[in-house]
Amino acid sequence: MPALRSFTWWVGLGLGAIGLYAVVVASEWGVGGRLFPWFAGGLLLAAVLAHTVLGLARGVDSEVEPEATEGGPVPRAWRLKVYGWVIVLVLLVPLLGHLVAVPLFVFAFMAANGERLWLSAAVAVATLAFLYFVLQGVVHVDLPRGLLAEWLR
Amino acid sequence: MSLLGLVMAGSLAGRSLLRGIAMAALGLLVSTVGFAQNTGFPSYDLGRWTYLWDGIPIVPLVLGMFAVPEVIDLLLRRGTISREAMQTVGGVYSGFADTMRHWWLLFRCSVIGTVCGMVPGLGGIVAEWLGYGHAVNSAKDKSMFGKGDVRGVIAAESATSAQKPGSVLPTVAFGIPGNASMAVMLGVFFIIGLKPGPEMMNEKLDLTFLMVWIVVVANVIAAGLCLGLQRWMIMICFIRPTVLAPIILAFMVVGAALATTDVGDVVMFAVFGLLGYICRRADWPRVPFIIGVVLGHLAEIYLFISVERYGISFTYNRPIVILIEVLIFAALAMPLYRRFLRAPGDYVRGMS
Repeated sequence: MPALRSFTWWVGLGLGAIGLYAVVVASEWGVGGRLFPWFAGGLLLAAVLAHTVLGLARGVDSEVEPEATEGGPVPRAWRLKVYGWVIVLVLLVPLLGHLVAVPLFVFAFMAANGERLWLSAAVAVATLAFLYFVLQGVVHVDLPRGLLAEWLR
Repeated sequence: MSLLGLVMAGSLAGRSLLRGIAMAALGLLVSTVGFAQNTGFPSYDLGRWTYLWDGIPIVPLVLGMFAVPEVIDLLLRRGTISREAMQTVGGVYSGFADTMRHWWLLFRCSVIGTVCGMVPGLGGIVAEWLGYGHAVNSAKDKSMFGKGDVRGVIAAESATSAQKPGSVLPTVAFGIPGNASMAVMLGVFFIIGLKPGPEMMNEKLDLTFLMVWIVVVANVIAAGLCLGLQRWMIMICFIRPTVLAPIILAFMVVGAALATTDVGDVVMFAVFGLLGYICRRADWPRVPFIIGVVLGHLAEIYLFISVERYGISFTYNRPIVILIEVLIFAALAMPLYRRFLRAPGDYVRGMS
């Protein structure tokens, strides 16, 4: 069946699972609490069910722009590297806090991807200066402290 | 009305109406996270994670859904934002000509924006997406929407710009703030001794018009600044992705954290970044999802009030509700009907 090979079709099943979870969890609440989650979850389940069944019967009508570099398709190693960098950022920020993690990420990413060291350092320092002097100093935004700092305290 | 907005949002889905409706429903579900407005009990707090009790902030959610997939795409392509070499800066006059050519769309979306501004709680995001949705739904050729169609820009910008003066009206005339910034302005009114109401429409009409002119002049100054700085702003499109992408990513993480300055913001940014990327790669529309989140709070509270007051009979006893139901049915049926006219044998496939 062509639908089974379609990523779009499988994503529909994943969203259906979220809808089912929402409906099941809400069933323990009172009428006022579960009214709207049941409505929204029911709508989601109905739409996903119809999408799944129609997909099996008639195929999935989806159009995704193919990812490509200037030299052809995106190499798998480069794709994994990009995903890895994004994951590193979202792990580093809660762990070290914005003030440390963000400039560190900017420097590491640029240096590791072939930018000159002085440029990487300059951009990282400028980022740190913006966070420290503008956001914290002028606008008085209290950026969240890293979990590591909390544990060490 | 919220449901009608959602169905219109769902029909923005382009290729699949069902995927649009499913994403709008998912947005409604996400809007229920936090303390339920009608019971006061926390919903979907994942084992008493207190961050979720105030609901999921819109900033990390929107940044994750829309910006993360774009930055990942920029990095994967290994090219600059603009794929063409930088030419002399131009296009100001053609932009003006485009706006004049689509003057009727500009007018309609400005009316949508003004009305959205007058309704307390709707705000700029709803005006923007409703304007965009109207442009998509009313266009004969929808193929270029999402790929740089100028009508999408004109619709969203005119609606969001018109929303601001629209929100002034209920604030000045009735003392009902249309959005958060108007609530702040209302506070300033009281500080300097102004009393919103009929007085502002009679004795102090000059002050009311002063506010209108401030909005006009501020927009003219902002447009002038943008035109003056465009040569330098365009250069961003030609910065190498290995320099630009980490800066954008870093500032997105910072921007996400400004919502509540809690680590949870970063987690939400990551979660919705992943969801946004999956949706983009799998052709599941993201716009209906955002509209679902925005309208969900209103829909939840009014559904509860209606059911409490009238029971389920409000769905077939009230003439205005019946009218809205007819409009919802029409909004659902029209895309299918148009698809059927285009390709009679293929319209069921277009659903999925």
